[in-house]
Amino acid sequence: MFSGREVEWDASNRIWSWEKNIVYKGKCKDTGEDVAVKQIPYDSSKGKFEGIHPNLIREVTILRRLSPHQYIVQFHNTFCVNDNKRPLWNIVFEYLSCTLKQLIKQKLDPSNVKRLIYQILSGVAHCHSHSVIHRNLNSESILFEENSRRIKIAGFGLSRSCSIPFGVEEKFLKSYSPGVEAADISYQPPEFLLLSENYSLSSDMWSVGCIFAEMARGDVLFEANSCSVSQLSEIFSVLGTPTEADWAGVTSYIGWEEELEALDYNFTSKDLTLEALKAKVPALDVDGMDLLSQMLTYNPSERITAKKALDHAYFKNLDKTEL
Amino acid sequence: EREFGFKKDEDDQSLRNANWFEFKDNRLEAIAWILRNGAAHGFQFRTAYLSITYFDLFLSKRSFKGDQTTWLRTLSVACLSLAAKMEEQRSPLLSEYKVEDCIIEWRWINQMELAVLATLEWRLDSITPFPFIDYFITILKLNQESPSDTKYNR
Repeated sequence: MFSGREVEWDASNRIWSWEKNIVYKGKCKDTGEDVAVKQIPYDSSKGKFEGIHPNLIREVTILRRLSPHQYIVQFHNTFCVNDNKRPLWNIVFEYLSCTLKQLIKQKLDPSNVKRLIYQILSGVAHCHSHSVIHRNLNSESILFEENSRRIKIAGFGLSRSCSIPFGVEEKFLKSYSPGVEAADISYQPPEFLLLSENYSLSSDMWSVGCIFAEMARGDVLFEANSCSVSQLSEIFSVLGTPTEADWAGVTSYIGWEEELEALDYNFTSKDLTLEALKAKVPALDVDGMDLLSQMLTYNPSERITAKKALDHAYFKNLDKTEL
Repeated sequence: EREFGFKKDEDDQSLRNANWFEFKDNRLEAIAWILRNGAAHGFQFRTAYLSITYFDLFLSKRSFKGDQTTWLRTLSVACLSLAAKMEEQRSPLLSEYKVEDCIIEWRWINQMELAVLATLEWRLDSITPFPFIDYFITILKLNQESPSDTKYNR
């Protein structure tokens, strides 16, 4: 267990930053072990005082619940320091030097894609079995440990625990917290983009599908657009415009705009959709395509669950002893 | 510099002299305050329920010195504030909580929030019965509406 006194970090060694949160590379003074220190500054805007930041409470609570696990980033401790008479909170994690995005840039062969997506699904299944929706899965919130060749899911800053231990796959939970719009737009499921109030564990599975495709093709599946309507039309251009038959209620969401309907992406059959997706991800075999299309299903309640995905035929020839 | 480890207090056992009976009336008063103020801020009922859970867990593990009324009021505000931060879309500023018949500084509430977090070892996601009620209502089809519209979830 680490504590504030045992960790030192160098402010110039910034690994990552998002809004006001910054992650530094640090060192444990006793063991010399590298650590990542995420700082959550106290927001003193307009002299308002809200106590401990809700995101900090949620993130630490969730990490306490999920960690340790082989596919979840190891959480060490949280401590508070005094920064110009203001509390500055720190969360200490294990340090991993490589993100999945960097790994994808080096090109992955099909067997590695299979192994890594299996690990990601195992990690996501672990979160989901603990009723935690990650909400910001992308190739930068998944880290890679080079020694063990394992992925570790990180970036739980936007996560949400839904405190129901079973039956959640079929059920939606009302949106609880703002901030989800800060998640990487390329990986956002259509229900987020349509500003649906409901999201569930299956929302993460869309993001996993995007990551799966990204690993197989070596590049982001859906390029990031500046607004949700153009992001949706990007998705529709590959998967076709969803109809009420695919997803009941889709056209009545707040985010549904007339111009989306006017787009000429009305694929008449499922085969055509598969073909368009196949053109984007040519490296995947038949089983892989089937799994991917089940992750990128419009209707959230018909999307494959992480647990079911692990049993998919795509993984039947995977050596599970070498994960 | 301060730290908030997850190690249990060495003298945890000695503190656990269940101040139950001593607090019985005060506890009821605190619960009434939590329910009233939770409703005033438009929180879901489960938020109030969670904060009462924190309140009881904390009291069963810690003792305190000083003025009882102020201390218990501060604890009630801290528990409600923590539960709101876990469950609600928007949590009020500490100064927005209304406390009668004593003056509480926000610094104390903040200190108390930290004390509750440390005592509960940052495990704030205790399972409440409410999602289960909704779940059973859904599967038994007692309510055709969306489960999040049931009165238990408000």
